[in-house]
Amino acid sequence: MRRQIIMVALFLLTTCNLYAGNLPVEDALVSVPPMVPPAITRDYPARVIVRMETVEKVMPIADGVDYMFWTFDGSVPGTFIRVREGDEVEFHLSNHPGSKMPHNIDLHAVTGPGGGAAASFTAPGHTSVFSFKVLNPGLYVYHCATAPVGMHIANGMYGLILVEPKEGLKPVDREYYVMQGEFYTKGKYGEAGLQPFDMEKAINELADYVVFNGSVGAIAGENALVANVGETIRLYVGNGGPNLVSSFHVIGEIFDRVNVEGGTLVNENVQTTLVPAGGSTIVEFKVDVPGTLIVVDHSIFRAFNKGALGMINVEGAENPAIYSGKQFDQVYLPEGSAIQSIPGETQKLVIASSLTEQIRFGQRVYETNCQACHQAGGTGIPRAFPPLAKSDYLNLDHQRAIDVLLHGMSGKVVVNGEQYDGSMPAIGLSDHDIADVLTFLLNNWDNNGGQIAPEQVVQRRLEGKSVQADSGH
Amino acid sequence: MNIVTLGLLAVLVAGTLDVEMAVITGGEYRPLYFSKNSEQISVSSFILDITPVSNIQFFEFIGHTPVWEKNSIPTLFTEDTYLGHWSQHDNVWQPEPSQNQEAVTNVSWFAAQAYCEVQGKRLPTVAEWEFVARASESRPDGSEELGYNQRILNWYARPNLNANIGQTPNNYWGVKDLHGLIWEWTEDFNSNLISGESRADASIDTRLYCAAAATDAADPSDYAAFMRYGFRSSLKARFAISNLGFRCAGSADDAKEGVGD
Amino acid sequence: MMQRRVWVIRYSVAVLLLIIAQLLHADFPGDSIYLLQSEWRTQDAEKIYLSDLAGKKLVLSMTYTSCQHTCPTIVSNMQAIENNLPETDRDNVRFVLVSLMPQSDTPEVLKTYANKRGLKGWTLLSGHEDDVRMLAMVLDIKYKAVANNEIAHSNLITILDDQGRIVRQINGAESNPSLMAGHLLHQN
Repeated sequence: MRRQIIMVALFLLTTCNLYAGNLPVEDALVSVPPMVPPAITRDYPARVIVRMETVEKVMPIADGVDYMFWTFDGSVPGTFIRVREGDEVEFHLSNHPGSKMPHNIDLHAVTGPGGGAAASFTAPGHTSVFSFKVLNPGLYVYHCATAPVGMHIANGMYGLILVEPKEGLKPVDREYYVMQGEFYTKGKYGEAGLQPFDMEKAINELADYVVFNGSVGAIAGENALVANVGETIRLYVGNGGPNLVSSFHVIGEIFDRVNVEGGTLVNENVQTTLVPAGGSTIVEFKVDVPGTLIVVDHSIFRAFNKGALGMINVEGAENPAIYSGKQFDQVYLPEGSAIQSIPGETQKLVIASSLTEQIRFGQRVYETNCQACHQAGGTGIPRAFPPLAKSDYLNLDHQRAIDVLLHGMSGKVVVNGEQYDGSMPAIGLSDHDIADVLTFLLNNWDNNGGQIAPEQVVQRRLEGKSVQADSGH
Repeated sequence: MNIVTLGLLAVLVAGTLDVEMAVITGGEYRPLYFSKNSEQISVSSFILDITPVSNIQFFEFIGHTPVWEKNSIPTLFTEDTYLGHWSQHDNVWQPEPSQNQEAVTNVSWFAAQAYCEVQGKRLPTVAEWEFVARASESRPDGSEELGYNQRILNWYARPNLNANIGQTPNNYWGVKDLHGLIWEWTEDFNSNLISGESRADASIDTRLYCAAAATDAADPSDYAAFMRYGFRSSLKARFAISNLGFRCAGSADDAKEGVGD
Repeated sequence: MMQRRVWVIRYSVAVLLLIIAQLLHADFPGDSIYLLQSEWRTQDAEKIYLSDLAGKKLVLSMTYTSCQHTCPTIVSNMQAIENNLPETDRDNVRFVLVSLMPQSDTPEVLKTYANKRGLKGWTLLSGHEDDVRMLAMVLDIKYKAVANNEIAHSNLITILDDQGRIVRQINGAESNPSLMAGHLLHQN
């Protein structure tokens, strides 16, 4: 009898192994953000191998600002993993020998205690292996859950795993991977240098940066996502948090289909969809006209003051029947982030010591505070925001330019022959910032050159004169 | 003796090993992994190395006890990464001259333990280490000081750097380098009964551990200590990790044998 | 400022003791727990070295006799493993309990416990606290003294081959004895 029990046990053990052995083994489809691996073509389950490495590394979080990110595979968000419902996943998690911290992974796609966190807990220079079966289709967040979990997530340890339903997903023309997360740094937004994590701000949920794909501009400007007119785009969107919920919106588009919270429920014709911290969504939309679509967290200060802004450049023929040509939504009148600065901060100020440095620092001030309205290249937006490139208004009177930055202005003004009737708020920049940004402007974009010293700004601030709109034009 | 003896004859240590140590007056403190109203832990008086053990000190130790050479140490006691930052010259693994005064890392608990024992010392316990590590430069409990925790946390926000030992300021007890240089082994690091899975660590997991369930309620307000406990719980005694070193402790009675004050 | 420093100067007497090593067991593999030359006392007050256990497979747990939580389950599971072994194979397997509380688990206490639980032919060990820690370290067992004179500890049952190499470790609270017996019989 006893012998029989053993035989049965051994038989079970063997069949178990055989079962695993029966599934074809293959490497998982993975990709680096913002790319998404191709759709799965097989119509049967497989044993898929995922190899991932946790790496702690310094990368830029914004221009001139560095941050010690903790990452899955060296990017924020981590590698995108694509598997099929019913697959068995064999997960190898390696922690880079240079890591200071142990790490682990909790995949929300796992059915089991901790999502694999305890099983994957790995000291620096070691590898853990665990397996799970993906039972439910959907788009799932994964993240590190090592104590203190908030800090590991706040440093960038999250990503997405897509479990395709057995029947597959409807083919589309473009797929992209976008994941929001916020960062809490010692210095305020844009402050240069290597910025350490600030636990106090994280606990109080006062984020300095709210970004897509790990840094300001990661999917904007040169890095913008691209598509052609007539194509359907599918975005796999996640939110790592650690704290904030995203009001995900694409300016100038309506989502034709949304897989609500990354699940099976489909909503149609959605303007803005919520993405919970530790949650996801899948949005699809067909782009009908060319231009730049702006991807934002519509908790809008995050977009214009903290970095949650991305772009999709759509190329192709105009279609005036659908859209006449205006480009930008004027409702969002952005203000400079510096306005939120707290007096008495003890952060060390980095002060420009040469014209070249003033220009370089000034560029940062521009990108942080001015570019949202006046645009990259200083082109402005017709009838809304006057140009700063080759600007007669700017070149004619430097002192007036200082006053505009110090006190703001409103009313009619003529720049390069065009009349503008809007208002510009006082930005609350420091004397150095004002001097630097003006010096930057004067020496770029076909302006006439020149240099503004911080002392000039101090002087004007003391005199306290506000600017009369349309003076002399 | 409980020393790991490996069945190899080694050379008698002819010289002496002298290291500056600080006297720590015992006291009570409440460690992280207890709830706010749990009992305090009492730590008896002891002595502790001022600095972590350096590469050159560990190299001298191996000279006396070749069983701990990279080429001879059994796999029971470490892994391939053991002393991996040293180089091999004339068949001997040794630190580069520039590494001499840096803290030795890539050493297993067994090797660290043997090093201390050979000198008539031992590794500090977790309680002892934490008791000393909570001191700031001016008081025994720095956690009351503004910015104290943030300064420790800043280490995690910097890339690894190789610095010589003994360059950070003395803390209240005259001990250096407890924060901001390396992790350090403790004698009973394996007393951390947490899974490293922070959500599960609010109470002990009775599937994995034999204990009353409420034994270890975490109070995660001290994030710096929280991370040290998390790190320790990821370790096995044979691990050799690139930023993990050690220092030795001793009984307070030994202070009387020493000189100086 | 409270800063007192001492220079501890020691002739390495310990090294001498350490180094008068026994060449007797030098031929164990590099990952054998028998490289630990620690001395223990059995429930019959017999002095043995750890390496005296070599030559048979081992089913080993670290527990203590007054433990009321999972320890009784661990011991029961070890007994179930024993019962699942064919008679002919039982001579090749040794069942060992190592006490995490050696101060109070004296040979007499261990003997009483073995009789009460019906642990015939088992080896119950009590040793120096430092040796207990060293053994726990090579077996990756975590433990910690807690309130009420108890010790919280890992629920592991370890299976070792006749050379003292770890073959498998399982959760002693949830073990499947027949599977374990299978591992015992069919490992190399």
